[in-house]
Amino acid sequence: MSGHWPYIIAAYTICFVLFALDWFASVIELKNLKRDSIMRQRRGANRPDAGNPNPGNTKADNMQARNTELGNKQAVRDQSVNDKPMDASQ
Amino acid sequence: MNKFWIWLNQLGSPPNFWAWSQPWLRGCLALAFITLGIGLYGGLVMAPADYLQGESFRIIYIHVPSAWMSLFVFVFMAIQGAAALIWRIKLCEIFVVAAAPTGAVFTAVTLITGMLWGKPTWGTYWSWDARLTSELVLLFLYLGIIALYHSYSEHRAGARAASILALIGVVNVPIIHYSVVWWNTLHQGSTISLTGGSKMHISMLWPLLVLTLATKLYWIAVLLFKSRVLMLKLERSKTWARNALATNV
Repeated sequence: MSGHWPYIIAAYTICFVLFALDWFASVIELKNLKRDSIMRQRRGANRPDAGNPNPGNTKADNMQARNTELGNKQAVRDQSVNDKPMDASQ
Repeated sequence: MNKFWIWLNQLGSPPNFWAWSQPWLRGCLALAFITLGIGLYGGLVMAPADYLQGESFRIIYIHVPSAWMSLFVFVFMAIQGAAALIWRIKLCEIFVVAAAPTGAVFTAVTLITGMLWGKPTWGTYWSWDARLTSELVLLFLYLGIIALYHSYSEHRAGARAASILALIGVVNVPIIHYSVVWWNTLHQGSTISLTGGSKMHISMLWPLLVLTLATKLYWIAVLLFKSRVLMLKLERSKTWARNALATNV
C-alpha cells in the first residue's frame, strides 16, 4: 500500500500549486495597479485638472484659446494666399 | 424597503464594499488556514487507511471538497449573473467575473486529483464515463466564461456576456450531480448525502467535513480579494480608488 503515497503527494502538491497560482495572479495584478497608479501620480495624471493643457484655466478659457489659435492660423493661411504672386496668364 | 435591502443596496456601492470586505477577507483567510491545517492533519495522519483502497483513499480529502466547490461556484456565478442581467448591479457583474478563475481551479483540481486516485484504484487515469466527462465539460465552461469576458474591451459588455454563459452552463450542474445515478459509471456513487446520511466512518468523515469548510472559507477570501482587485482596476480614476491604491491594500 505504500506505493500509493506518490499519487497522494502528487495530488496534494498539484492542488496547492494551482491554488497558490490563482492567489498570486491577483497579487501581481494588484501590484501592477499600484505601480501604474504611482506612475500616473508622478506624471500628474491623477490631478483633478489632468489632461488640461493649461492648468488653472477653465474649459471655456481653453476653448477660447483654441479658437484664437485656429483663427490666427486661418489668418496666416489667408495672408499667404493673398501674398502669392498672380499668374501672368490671369 | 426593510433594513436588509437598504444595507444590500449600500453594499453594492464600490467604496462601501471596499471598506466592508477587508476584515471579512482577512478573517476568512485566517480561518481557512486553521481549518486546512486541522483537516490535513486529520485526513493524512489520524484517519485510518481504507480496508479496500488502502492509503490512496486519502486523496478524497482534497478531491471531494474541490468537486463540491466546482459545482457550488458555478451555481453562485449563475445566480450572480441573473442578478446582474435583471437588476444591472455592478457588484454582481464583478462577482461573476471574479469567481470564474477560482471555479476553474477547483474543477482542474477535481479532475487531476481524480485521475491520480483513479490510477491505483481503477487501473487507469481516465475513462470517458458520464461523471468524468461532464466535469471536463464544466472546466471548458469555466474557461469559456473567462475567455468570453476577456474578448470584450468594455467590462460591462464582457460581464453581461459571461453572465449569460453562466446561466446557460448551469444546466450542466445537475447532470454532473446525477450522472452516477442516471448512467452506469466507473465513478462510484455518492458517499455522503444531505438526506441519506453517510457511508463513511466518523473517523474518516470528520476531516472531510473540516476540509470542506476550509475550501469554502478559502473561496470566500479569494472571491473578496479578486473582486477588490477588479473593482480597483475599474474605478482607478475615482478618488476613493486612488486613495485606496496609495495606502497599503
